[in-house]
Amino acid sequence: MNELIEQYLSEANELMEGITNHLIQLDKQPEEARIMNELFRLVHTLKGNSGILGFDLIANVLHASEDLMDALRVGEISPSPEFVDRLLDAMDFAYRLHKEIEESGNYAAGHADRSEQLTRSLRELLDRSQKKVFNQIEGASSCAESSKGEMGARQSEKVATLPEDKRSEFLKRIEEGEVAFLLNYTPAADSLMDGVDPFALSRETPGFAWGEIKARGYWPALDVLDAYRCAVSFVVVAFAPRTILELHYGAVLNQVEISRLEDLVLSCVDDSAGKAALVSAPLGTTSLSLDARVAVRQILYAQKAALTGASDVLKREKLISSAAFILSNCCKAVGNFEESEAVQRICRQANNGGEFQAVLEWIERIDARLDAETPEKKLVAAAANSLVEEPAPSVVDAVNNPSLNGLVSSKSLKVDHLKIDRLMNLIGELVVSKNAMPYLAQKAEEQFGVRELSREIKAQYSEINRIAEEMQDAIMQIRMMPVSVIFQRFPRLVRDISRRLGKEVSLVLEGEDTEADKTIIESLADPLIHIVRNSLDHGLETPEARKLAGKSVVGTLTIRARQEADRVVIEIVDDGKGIDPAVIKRKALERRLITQEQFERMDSREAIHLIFAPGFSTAEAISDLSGRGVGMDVVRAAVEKVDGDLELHSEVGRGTRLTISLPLSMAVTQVIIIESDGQTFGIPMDHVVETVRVPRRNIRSIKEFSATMLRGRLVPLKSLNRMLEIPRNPLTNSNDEYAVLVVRFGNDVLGVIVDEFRKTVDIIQKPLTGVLSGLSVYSGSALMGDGSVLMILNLREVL
Amino acid sequence: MPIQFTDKEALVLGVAGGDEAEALLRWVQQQPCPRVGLEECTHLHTAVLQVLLAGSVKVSVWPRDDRLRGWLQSCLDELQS
Repeated sequence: MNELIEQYLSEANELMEGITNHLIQLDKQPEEARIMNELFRLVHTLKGNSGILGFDLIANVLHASEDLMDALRVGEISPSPEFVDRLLDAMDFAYRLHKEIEESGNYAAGHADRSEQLTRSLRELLDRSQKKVFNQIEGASSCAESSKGEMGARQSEKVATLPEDKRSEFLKRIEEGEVAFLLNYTPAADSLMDGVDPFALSRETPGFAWGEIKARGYWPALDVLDAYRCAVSFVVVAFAPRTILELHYGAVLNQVEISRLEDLVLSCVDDSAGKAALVSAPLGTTSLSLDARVAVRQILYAQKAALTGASDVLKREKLISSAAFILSNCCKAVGNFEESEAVQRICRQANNGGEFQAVLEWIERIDARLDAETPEKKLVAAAANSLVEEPAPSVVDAVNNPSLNGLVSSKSLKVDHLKIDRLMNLIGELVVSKNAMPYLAQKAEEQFGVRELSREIKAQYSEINRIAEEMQDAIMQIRMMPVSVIFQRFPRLVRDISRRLGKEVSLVLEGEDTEADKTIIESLADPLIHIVRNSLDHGLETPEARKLAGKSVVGTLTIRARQEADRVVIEIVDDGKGIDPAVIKRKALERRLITQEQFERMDSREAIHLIFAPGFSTAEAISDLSGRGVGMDVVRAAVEKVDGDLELHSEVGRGTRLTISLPLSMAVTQVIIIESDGQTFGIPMDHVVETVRVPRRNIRSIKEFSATMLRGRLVPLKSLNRMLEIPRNPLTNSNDEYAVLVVRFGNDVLGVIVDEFRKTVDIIQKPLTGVLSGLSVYSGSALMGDGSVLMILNLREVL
Repeated sequence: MPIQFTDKEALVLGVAGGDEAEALLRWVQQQPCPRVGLEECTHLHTAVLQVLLAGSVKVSVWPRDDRLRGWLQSCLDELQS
């Protein structure tokens, strides 16, 4: 994928997260100006970025969203839940398209309809709300909101006449979040007769920032001049809300065109009148495409690097001449002839006196301007940096120059996860190959009889071992992500669902900064969403039902994360109606998930865990949220896939608590090596409770099952050989004792009879690939220090 | 009188209201090279302003009021002396 698109996507994801979060906040605090400003800024940036890269379907929807947010921000309309819904829809659409871009580099053309539909619905909402507000303003004429677009085109010509210093001052204020309007007041010819003084009215415009008087045509000869027939018009830039401006012009509002200054400046890029306007901008860069701006920056950096790198005077003179040529042409190319001449002059002076500092200062000044003028400056700077190719020696010098370092350094770094995965694989290989050293030392001593060498290898090994372990730890740290990454979706999810279900829910998130490995966090996302949906749909009651049950009307859903030893524990707690084991049992029986016999024997704890059985759904009516019977069993499978455990507690009428426990990291697995029929297997230590020797006489057979008593507890036994269909009986040791590995799954304990225990080792598990990937009895394989391959058993599957 | 007429120039003091436009127009018509001093001026009625524009009146001194000065400099010429 194109580097720019990659950069765009990574920024877009962040922006969209921000937008969604702020929308949810806005829903709660509708009058908070800070949130609205921030929202507007985020949407504006995203719109700009998507427009630059030609993702028009996204840009159009975002443009309409931006208009709506802008109207909110300047107080033209007031927020309502409907706004938030529409805007969230727009964000969902953008999110879907971004996903497609991520997968295939672009989105399908078929989205055009949806894009148009969303844009239209946003515009309609804006129009509707504006009309409502306008009707409330006394004397508001129809002019104010009519034919905005056509007016904008004429208005943008006015931007051309803004003096340069004012223009940059206004742009700066706009970028800081202020709202400016450009007013074009063309008084009716007879307005002076009506007692209006248009000049006074223009001068008194609220938030006045700049004004200009224009004659509408040629003046007649003085002897036929009617001084009381108005023939001038006024252009005003004002920093005030539109409503205030409209009130000010009240009676003559139909003679005033009001446009957002920002829109005009931005729309200038497309029309020729605007282009003319922008030539007078400091560098004219606002009209340049992203590519062009990146190119300008690159030229600046390259020239700077070349100049600072030159050591002898003669060479420098030549460099300055060439810099003068390149830089002045560059300025001409972007339409700034003034700077083009300026740089030529500066370079000439530099060569006459031999002092080249002035040239560098000029470059820095332009660079700074480029920053000030570029809304997407981060993008441009990053792109320019990333596009600087293999540095020439002079560029290397320049990097060492402290004044340039500020441009390059940044506190955090975005890295493609594939690169981190590669690091992870490499460290895995290093761990394995370092483990070969003790074997080597042993060989040196035993086979070749060089003890000294053996000792040195061992000493060296311990050093390499330390470094490898630290490195592994460091890489693991890079992969750690806070659970907030998934938690942040919940406010939106809970809001949407509870609104749809007509329930009132307060969401409490705790321990969001708890960290776990990226794979674990990612595997948690979907199950958690499902659980939350289930809680909202089946767990929490409607306000009326809650009132009847004597509970507070608002239900509480708590999601908390914490770290316990080497595991992350996530709890989803609701104070809803709980799960009734009797109901669950009856349903399970109806659906033939359990037999009549099981039905009668089952205790309530076992009963509620039936909701994790495949094909179980308790919803009376199938809703679009949950209740299609593909739910909790999928959740369980997803959690178990990453070696997690699920635990459910529920009290009828009081609520439900679901606890998910997951390993912190999957990268390093501690396994115990066991032997069966001459083969070695690895079994993850997570499941192992203990290893015991059980004398043959202590094993009882009940029908085809065997079991033994272990510290007063009955432990069922199974032979690994039989489970793997190896036609051999397990071996005993010289005391006629079996080797039994006691393992635990959830609350079930089981003894696995093997031939022999070996040691425990830390391994980096690799998933099986190709033909082997179909073997579900193995969760993966690992390479041992002596070069042999250890197969890791997936005990859950084997059992 | 908010506008004082001298041989050489018209001096506007304070606010020049709409009523002043006609007198000013007559004076401008008589001058071969009319000029106006606006140092003390705080406002010009639109009609007065139109006379200054139509008569290509040169400004000898700009208003002390910065904002007014900004407005007027956008349309009136300074006297080149």
